[in-house]
Amino acid sequence: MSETLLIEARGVRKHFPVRTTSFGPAPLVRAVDGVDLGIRKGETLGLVGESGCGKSTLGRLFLRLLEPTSGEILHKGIDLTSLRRKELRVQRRDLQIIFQDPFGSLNPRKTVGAIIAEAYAIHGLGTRAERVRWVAQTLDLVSLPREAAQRYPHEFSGGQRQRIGIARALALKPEFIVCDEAVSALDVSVQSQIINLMQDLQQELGLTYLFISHNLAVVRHISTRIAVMYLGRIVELANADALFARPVHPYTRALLSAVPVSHPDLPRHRHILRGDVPSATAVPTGCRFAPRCAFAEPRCRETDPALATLDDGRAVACIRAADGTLPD
Amino acid sequence: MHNRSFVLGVSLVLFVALVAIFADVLAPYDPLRSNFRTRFVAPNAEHWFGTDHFGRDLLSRVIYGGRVSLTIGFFVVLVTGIAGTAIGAIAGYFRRLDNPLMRLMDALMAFPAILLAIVISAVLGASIVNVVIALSIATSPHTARIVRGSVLVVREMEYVEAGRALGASELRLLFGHVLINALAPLIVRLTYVFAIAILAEAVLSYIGVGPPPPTPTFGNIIAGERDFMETAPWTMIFPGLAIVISVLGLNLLGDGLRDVLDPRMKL
Amino acid sequence: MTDVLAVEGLTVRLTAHPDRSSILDDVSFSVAAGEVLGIVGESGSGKSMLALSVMGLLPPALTIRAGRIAVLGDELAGRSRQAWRAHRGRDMAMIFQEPMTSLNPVMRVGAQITEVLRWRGGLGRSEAWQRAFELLEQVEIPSPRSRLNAFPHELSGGMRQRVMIAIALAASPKLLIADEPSTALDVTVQAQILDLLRNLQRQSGLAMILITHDLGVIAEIADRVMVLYAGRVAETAPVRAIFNAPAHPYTQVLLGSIPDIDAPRSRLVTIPGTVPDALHMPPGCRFAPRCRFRQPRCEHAPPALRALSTDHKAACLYASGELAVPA
Repeated sequence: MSETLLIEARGVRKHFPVRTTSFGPAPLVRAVDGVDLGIRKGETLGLVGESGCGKSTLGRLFLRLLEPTSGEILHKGIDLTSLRRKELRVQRRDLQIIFQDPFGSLNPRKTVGAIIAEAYAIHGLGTRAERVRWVAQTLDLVSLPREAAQRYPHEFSGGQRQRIGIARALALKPEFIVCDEAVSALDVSVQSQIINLMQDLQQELGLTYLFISHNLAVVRHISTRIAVMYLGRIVELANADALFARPVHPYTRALLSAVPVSHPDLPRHRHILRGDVPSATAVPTGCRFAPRCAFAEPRCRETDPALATLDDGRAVACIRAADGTLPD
Repeated sequence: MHNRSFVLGVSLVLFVALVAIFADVLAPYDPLRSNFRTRFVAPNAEHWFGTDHFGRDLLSRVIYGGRVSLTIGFFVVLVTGIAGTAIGAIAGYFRRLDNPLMRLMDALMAFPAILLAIVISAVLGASIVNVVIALSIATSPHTARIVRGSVLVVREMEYVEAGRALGASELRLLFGHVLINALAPLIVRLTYVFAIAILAEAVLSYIGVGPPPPTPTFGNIIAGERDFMETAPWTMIFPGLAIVISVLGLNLLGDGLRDVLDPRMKL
Repeated sequence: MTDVLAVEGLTVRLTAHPDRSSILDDVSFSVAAGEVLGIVGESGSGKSMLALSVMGLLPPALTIRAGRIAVLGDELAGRSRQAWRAHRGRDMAMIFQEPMTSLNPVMRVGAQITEVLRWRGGLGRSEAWQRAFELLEQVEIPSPRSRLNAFPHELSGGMRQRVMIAIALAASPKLLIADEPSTALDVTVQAQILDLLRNLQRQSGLAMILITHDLGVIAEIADRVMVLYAGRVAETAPVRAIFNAPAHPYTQVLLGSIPDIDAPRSRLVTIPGTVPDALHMPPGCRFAPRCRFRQPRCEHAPPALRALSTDHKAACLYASGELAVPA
């Protein structure tokens, strides 16, 4: 695994105006509020956070499925945000996505074969015979029978539909795949099948994943590095093992401690977070986590901490962590 | 298909359609031929529906009237279908055009449909073509709204986003993904439009802005015999029944289609 | 100690097609006061139908064909709606997965709580409001006074779930059934809700049934566990026994297929195939087609739930040592 960055987000922001009936400036939902994140070739970058933190939005911004309000997305040096439609389409061959919902992510009125072959039709690749062959090969990759190409999505189970979604994502032989809660809607026993499949495919095809999930156990299992998001910002970025062994950012600590233990005999150390996540339309000034942070000091409300690299290589957005005054 | 109303609806509609198509073969007499010796004959063995005030065979007139009325209905459905879908799809899919288009539709819908049709028909003159135009304008806005509604929902489905991720253009997404899945409510709406067209044509004819005689339509047969309601009631009853059967059949068909096309029932 | 709930041989079938495979088949279990029973199952296991059966809330498409359901000793299966209603809301209460759809969106939160108090508890108006306030405090909702007047959509998911718990507790039930109460919630909120449930349960000696697919939640809060597969009981045991020595092959695979956050990473165990659907239930053991220990005997008849040790039962010929498995 090289250190070269395959795709990088720089200063990316996505603000949605909220449609209100009253006049005046609309309040902004700051879904993603200044993210710098580089993903290395061959790695699986896990992106975790709770609902409303902006992780799904960030995933889509990487693919420019949403237009960033500001910032750049660099793919092999090319800024996706500056491309016109035709050039972007060419880039899209390398950048794909797998969705969470195995039911809503497949067009119910198209056959499986048509769903996958559309990728080739869009880019004008191959003759009809070649496309049939490619579809069959892609179905092989995800361990689905070749006859599946003639059937409709509703004839398959949730796990199989997720495989179809993966096959579609693989059709154009991409290098980078965003997995947006790709296993969250599946039963546990099916989940493990899909996780194993995704790991195998990564090995075989040299894929790079951005794995978005709220399930920390799964993320830990599959990721090389993990980024923790809170209210539109990345608050910690570290190697998976390092993050779980020693979470630094107070939010990461609370998050990890909230995960149910995996065995009844294991002790629980809960950092119970009080209150709820503030609305993304009313982001607190200074450090956005300060109002709920057990270690907050007055200066935390004044400075908005940037993601700073610590000695052990991880990055944390916390002024107390940066100057070493954060207690363990 | 154990949906009884659907089956009944299909049967009635098929029956009426077949009669209209094979009018030439089925009608015993020339609908336009008057015969003053056989005026106001009550229904008997030679004239199953009796005759009208010109001595014309009512059965033949009703059969040919069906052809005209159904043709009007068919073209109204065609025009409304195309126009309504186009407007609704564009309004639903392209946010910036949504407001201007739908406000225009709202303006048209502010007028009662019949009134609108009457005014347009009166302005353009009474003819089959103008009736089709008038009724299409009257029924398109609601059709557009229905299509827009479906498009709004389907547009947000993840498979549309997936298509975008593959590099599909917005037009390809609109036609290849969104519209295909938005069609069900449209089809149901169009069967009702057909029924509305038949009824509305009858109203227009009754008032005098429908297709002019002697060409028979369900509506203008009734309109023409209006003065003889008491003395020769059969002259209004039979065309009236024809309207009832056609509209009932279409309504049942529409209801049945709505259930059949409901994707939840399929799974 | 009498059981708050005793279910024996519960079988539920489709009302219109009683000849087809059962949705729930011969399910037996009990819950004592002060105990938390965790029911684990994936989709198609029948766990939600089990909860609805116990509450007497089965949809008309399903009927209880056999078995006993005894609430506080009162036998309820096959009795009238009145009989169920006498217990529902008073002795047993239920909370659901989706608080947004379980709360009336056009009714203020306080009104929904007082409705139960006045109708079930027979309290007068001002007493009911006072008690509602106390309940909101008990479920640890901040600023309870103002929240009484809030509508459900004004509250966050965690808050709404707390309101649901308050409504459930309003009539002081002896049994609380929680159907995936924290699944739709964020991890940190889930931790809060589970803590709350645990505390409430300890304080009041409530018997609780917690239905979930999340084994972590089971490990946190359950005393005993029942594993359901395709409408049948696969295994029941105290919680430690389930984690330390799972006997049924399905339980073993279930545990192995979840990434263990505390252990070094290893490849996940997978089970081939999928849960059978109601129309194509296998004869005999319903897990057999996917089981690596299966033998022809397994397909003849459903294996009985046998005791492997005190309080640890499994419905599996392999687990109870009745199969000769080649090494």
